[in-house]
Amino acid sequence: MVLALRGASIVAFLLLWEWAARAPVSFNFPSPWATVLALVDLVRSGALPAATLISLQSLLLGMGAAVVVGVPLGLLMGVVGPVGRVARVYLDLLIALPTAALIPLVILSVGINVASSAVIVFVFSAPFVTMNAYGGVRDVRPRLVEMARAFGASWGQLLTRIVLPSALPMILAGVRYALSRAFVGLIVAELLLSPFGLGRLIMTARSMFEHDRMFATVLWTLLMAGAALAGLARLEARLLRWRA
Amino acid sequence: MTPRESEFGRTGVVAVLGLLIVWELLGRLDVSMFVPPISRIAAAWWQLLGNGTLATAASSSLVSLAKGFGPAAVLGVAVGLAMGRFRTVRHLLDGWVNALMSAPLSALVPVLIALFGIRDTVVAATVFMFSFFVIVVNTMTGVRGTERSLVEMARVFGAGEVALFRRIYLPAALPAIMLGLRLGAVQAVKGMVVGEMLISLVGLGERLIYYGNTFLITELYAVIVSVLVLALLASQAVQAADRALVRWK
Amino acid sequence: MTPTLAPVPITADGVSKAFGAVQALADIHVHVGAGEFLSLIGPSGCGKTTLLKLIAGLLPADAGRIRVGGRTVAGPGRECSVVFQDFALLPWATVQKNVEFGLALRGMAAAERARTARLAIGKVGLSGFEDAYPSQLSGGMQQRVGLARALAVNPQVLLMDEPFASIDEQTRRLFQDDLLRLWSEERKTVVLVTHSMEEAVYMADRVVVLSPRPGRVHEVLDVPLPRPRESSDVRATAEFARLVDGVWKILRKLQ
Repeated sequence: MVLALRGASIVAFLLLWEWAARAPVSFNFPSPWATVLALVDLVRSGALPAATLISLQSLLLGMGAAVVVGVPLGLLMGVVGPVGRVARVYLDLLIALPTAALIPLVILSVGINVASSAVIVFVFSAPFVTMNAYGGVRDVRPRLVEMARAFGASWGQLLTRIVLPSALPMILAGVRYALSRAFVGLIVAELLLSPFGLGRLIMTARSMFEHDRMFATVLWTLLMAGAALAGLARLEARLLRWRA
Repeated sequence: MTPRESEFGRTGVVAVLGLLIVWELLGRLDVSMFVPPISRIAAAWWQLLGNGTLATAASSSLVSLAKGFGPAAVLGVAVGLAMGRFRTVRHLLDGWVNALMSAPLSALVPVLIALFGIRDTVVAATVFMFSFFVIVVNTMTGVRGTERSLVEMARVFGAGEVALFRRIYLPAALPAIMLGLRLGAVQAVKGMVVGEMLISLVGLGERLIYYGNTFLITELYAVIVSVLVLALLASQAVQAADRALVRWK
Repeated sequence: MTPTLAPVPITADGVSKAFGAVQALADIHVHVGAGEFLSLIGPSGCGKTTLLKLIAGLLPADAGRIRVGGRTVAGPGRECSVVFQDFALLPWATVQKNVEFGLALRGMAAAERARTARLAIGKVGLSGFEDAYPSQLSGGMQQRVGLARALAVNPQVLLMDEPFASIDEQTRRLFQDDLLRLWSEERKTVVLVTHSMEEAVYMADRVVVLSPRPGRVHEVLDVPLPRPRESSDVRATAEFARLVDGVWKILRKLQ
């Protein structure tokens, strides 16, 4: 029953799309089929795979840096109270700020290259990884720490056997959310920075009025982001099998 | 992830002041051309305020914000209520809502540009897009979290569908709705900036692009600060409404 | 396989503990003989859990001295093992890994660790559940894991902080008997903190009653009931009822 409803909504969406393509909208709204054809064409010509690779490169660099910097920083914040209380203020401000506003600044200081895309991805995702690592440490059950101490655990053992495993669910959730933010940052950066990646493909297609190509690339980008997030969610479920 | 309430308090003030002082020092020491002293940023900000640039840009931004967030709030709550209350609606739409909530919606802005042309309507549409889904999801969660026992009790006293909504579901879901609106407001401002930067026509986002292109770094920082202030004000505004409406918490 | 170590006595001399302005314990003098089973009971807030934590070395005493065996307590030590009221199991680890916890901290080799843990799991009657997660177990079973973990490190002293409080009565009774049986096979010095008068009398050789805050040793009662008690009907005897009533009368006057 549920499956039928979900299927129906997808069919309805496709029908709506097809109608919009035929109706007199302000521009050449490509039909679903035209979009698929354009997608196949882009893949065959190699343009889409090349752009995807460039985009993924920036994404992985930026996210990787965010995790490598953010998780230890968040752990430090959680373990050393004063550091946590102060750093948290800066992070709250960073999270409240529309991060896109920092893009021109990054472009000015780092230039227009793959590195600046990676930096932008980092700025978009690192605060969330850090805050979640921080929250994860703060939520560690004091009882478990007490129990470990009763068994004579050292500080190092407390960190690796109690704090880290306890904080892991929140850290993973933070990484997953950070990944969705990373994609947002990546796309905005590339739409603005034009010379690179999927953003460039989208902007070029639009400026040349090749709307079917634009749609195809946008669709591809959304699907890729969705797949990446779903993949991460599955990894998360595997790592956290012990949850009730 | 739920952003925690920014516990400003004394630590906050001290932390921010400390940052400003350090920044001012680094700026004076001319560490980098990208770290101008706070005093110069403040001066630039004051100047932009004086010659009307900020006012024009901010008012355009605020109008787009309102035009986008208003409908997003109304429609978002309505759809969220429907999805929370009726299983059929939920199954029909939740796939889309969940997928779009975490999707890089900025990828859709070029589509909006192709649709509306390079106009400020694109900004309002982006604002709507960014905030709508968050509001729907939180509203739906709020409705679904209503205690069964309250609904049963109301039914026993003869409450019909409308009465159930007005007296049970809506009040019970109100905290979640307010949270959704607050998160939505934050997202709305982000959408506003993204939209304005991509069409590069009006508003604070356009100013960011302009000052970036012309290397006017102090002015750029001044606009960034203005955007941050706007974001914080938007969040605080919703929080104030929250406190006014949800007094029983 | 490490042979079971002999139990050791516990002595508390003039022990006091305060938390800020709140004096939890004042001038505590208690002696627990090697291999003795002692129950600790008292009104809410009398500091019985605090005293247990002091013995375990989790808290420092403000005044006085606690000795476990030959050692003056200055921190957690190898002689003592603790069983907690809320089980304190690692939710992300299997039963096997949970029981191995104390052994892993002490650097025992993996193979020996696994063997030792499995033995302990068998002793508490959970063989077959080694790969289960705590979330899949009932409260009683989780506490058995906690007990297995405590026993696996071969302690000479077993400190139990209201271990059966979160368990339903029927499971609790079975568990109490199992504990007594284990204790008779491998003698350890046991200090059991409880708020159940019946449990205090049923399990112990002596019952120590603490006064309300600040906790002092108000009275010490002998429990001359014969052992083994686990397979007998001692709960139905008049002597048992008299002893429990005796404890109640003391506690009632302290409220």
